[in-house]
Amino acid sequence: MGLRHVMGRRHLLGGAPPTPLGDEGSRADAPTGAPGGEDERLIAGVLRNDRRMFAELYRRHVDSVYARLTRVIGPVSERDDLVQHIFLDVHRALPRFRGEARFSTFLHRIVLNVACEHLERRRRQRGRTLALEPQHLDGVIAPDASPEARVRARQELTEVFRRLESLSPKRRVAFVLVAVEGLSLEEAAALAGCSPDAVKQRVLDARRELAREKADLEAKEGGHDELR
Amino acid sequence: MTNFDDRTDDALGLEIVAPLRQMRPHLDELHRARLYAALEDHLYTSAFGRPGAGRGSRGRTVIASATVLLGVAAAVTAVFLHGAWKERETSLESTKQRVAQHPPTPPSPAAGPVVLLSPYLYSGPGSERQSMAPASRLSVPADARARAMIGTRVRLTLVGPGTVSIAESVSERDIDLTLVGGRLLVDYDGQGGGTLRVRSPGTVTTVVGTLFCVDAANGETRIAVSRGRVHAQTRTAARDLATGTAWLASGGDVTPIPRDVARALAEHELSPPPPIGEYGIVLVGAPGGAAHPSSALSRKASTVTLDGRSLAAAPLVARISAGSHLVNEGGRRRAIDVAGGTIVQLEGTSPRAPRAESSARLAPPSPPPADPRVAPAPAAPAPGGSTSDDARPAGAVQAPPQRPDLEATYAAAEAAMRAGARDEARRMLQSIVAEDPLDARAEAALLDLARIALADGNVRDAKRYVARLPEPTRDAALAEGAHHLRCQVDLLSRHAIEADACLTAFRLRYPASLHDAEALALLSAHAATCDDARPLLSEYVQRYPDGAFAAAARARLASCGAPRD
Repeated sequence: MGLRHVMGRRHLLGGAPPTPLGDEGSRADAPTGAPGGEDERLIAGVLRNDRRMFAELYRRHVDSVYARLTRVIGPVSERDDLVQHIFLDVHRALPRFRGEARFSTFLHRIVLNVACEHLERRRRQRGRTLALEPQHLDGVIAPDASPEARVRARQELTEVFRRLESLSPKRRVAFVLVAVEGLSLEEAAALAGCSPDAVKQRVLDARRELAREKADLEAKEGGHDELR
Repeated sequence: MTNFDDRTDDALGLEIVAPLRQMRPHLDELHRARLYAALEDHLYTSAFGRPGAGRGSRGRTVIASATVLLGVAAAVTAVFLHGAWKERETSLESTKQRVAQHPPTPPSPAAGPVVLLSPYLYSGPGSERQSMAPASRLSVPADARARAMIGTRVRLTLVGPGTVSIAESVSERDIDLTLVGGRLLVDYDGQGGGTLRVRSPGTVTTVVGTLFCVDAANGETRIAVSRGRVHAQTRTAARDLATGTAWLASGGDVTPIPRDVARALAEHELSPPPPIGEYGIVLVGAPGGAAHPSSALSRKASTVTLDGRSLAAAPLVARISAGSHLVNEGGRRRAIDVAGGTIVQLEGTSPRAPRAESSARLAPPSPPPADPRVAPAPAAPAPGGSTSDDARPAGAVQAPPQRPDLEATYAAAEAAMRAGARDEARRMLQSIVAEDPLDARAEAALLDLARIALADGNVRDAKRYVARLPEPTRDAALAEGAHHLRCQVDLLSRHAIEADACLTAFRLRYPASLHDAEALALLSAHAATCDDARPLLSEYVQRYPDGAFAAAARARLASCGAPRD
């Protein structure tokens, strides 16, 4: 019994639209779940050097940052450092925030930039396989999953992130935003800092690349079977 | 808006998109707090000076930000220190010990402090005030001790010489304490979320629900954890400290918690609750004066313990929670039942002295008459059961047997458990743990406390007690039971992976255990694939053909079929 069987496959069967993972404020233009002016009030406080306001801003957004970062780069141990980098960047960049976009958009652009930088660094470390530790994998599996489902989910996620490693960072980000999180091209473009057409092309390229990689793998395994 | 890629029903969707969508990345409170503590260090604490390390331009920028913010922080600190404070001459614990309280800093224009230290413990004899005014800082001299609440979830004991102050905080969710010397024993209930930080020389300790100690002396900080976990950060190192460990932050290995600290923390944990909710006052050998005329009895001072923890030398006045307690003065133990809002007066506890216990409703300022509503002593089961206190007035206080040692108390607790008196048993077991947390009896008591908690369906408390058990237990006879209990707690806490590991280790370590069949059945049930399950199922069927799980095991074996080559 796989993870999808355990956790429901309603939206996998095509009947319902994909549930955006925007409950944590991941949609580019979505409200963050609180009164609209709350972020602005907190930002104003931060700009007055009020530490508590920054703490509150962090508290409001850290979960969504962590969740998106995990979806993009995987449940790797470096996430903690990256979350710190992101909020340090946010703190540094806040004086330049003019409120033209929502704060969540501003924040998640930084998230994706940091994620891309990290993925680039990882790609440069050739020959190093992605190591996903069991405890980090367990941290993204629903806590009420049965032991069987948990084991299966670990295997599936390890395989998923292994396959995503073949994508370039930009394609990977676009794929996650659109295919996984269900964002529209416009929403994804606002976060990725490019045009909707560019996002679309990246997603198509990512799908092709993943399909090709799978075909290559199957061909290789078929060859091995024949040899046996 | 363009919904472009909703093709989740093709192969790619099933293999990649679905697992990613099912992911539920989340941060728990401790993790969130740790991240923020580190972030805050980068942003606001120049002393740590870490931001630039290995981080290129980002680090330099952070240093610049931190420098600017340092100025702001300094200004805030100056305002904080500027607040006029005067020492209050309120006796705590004894008339000879003084605690300096400092009134809160005047509220800043942005937001005033709403969470303060609320000292609550023992007012000196004759003092009218039972609770003390909230303060932003507490100072105690050498060997003195003060206790305080912060909000409803932080309970602390400061052992002098030392000072603890609280930073401005908008809520009790996030509390920032600064310890300048002294030993700070803290019990923090993080159940409702939030964090507590203790800043001490060179170190920031971040906690979410735990019982721990920060010892600041000679510019060094030593941290010890009795329950839960804390994260300690210095400028050069960081440690996650688990239950039963201690760490000298200026450098050194993580070591087992020192016996005296463990004892102090246990004493702190069982210390009287704060002045919120129901409470009563107990006077032990207090002169009482006009307020309590029946107590005019001069006698030699002796140390008083309440529920196994040492209070101070009599005479004293203590604020204690409503309920049953064990009072020991100079070896004479008594069980008392304190109703909310009452005063219970004990006197003449010297073995040869005449005794006259009385109680009264709390009705300050004028002393009320004795109140018959104070219930007689609880039926604390105790070996021997008799009392030599024949002179005791009927219906006031029941005296338990003299000098029951840990063994006797444990026997009484066992009797209470057999009788189904869980609350009584729990109280006695807790007093054993408080008496000497490193004693073998305390191990047994912790095990029983965990079992009682499980029987009550309180997994959280069970986990708390199990976490305090040393591993391995010092008493080898308890090791198997402790191991099995750990596995149970993991299972009930839905920590499936840990539970499986625990059960596997249990089977290896105790192959002849009575719990082996259960462990084997659980492991078989948890096996995700037939290949994993088959050997476990076969073993079960072979070893326990009539076991409760045998039929199910055979059925699954049949459905799995023969192993593939």
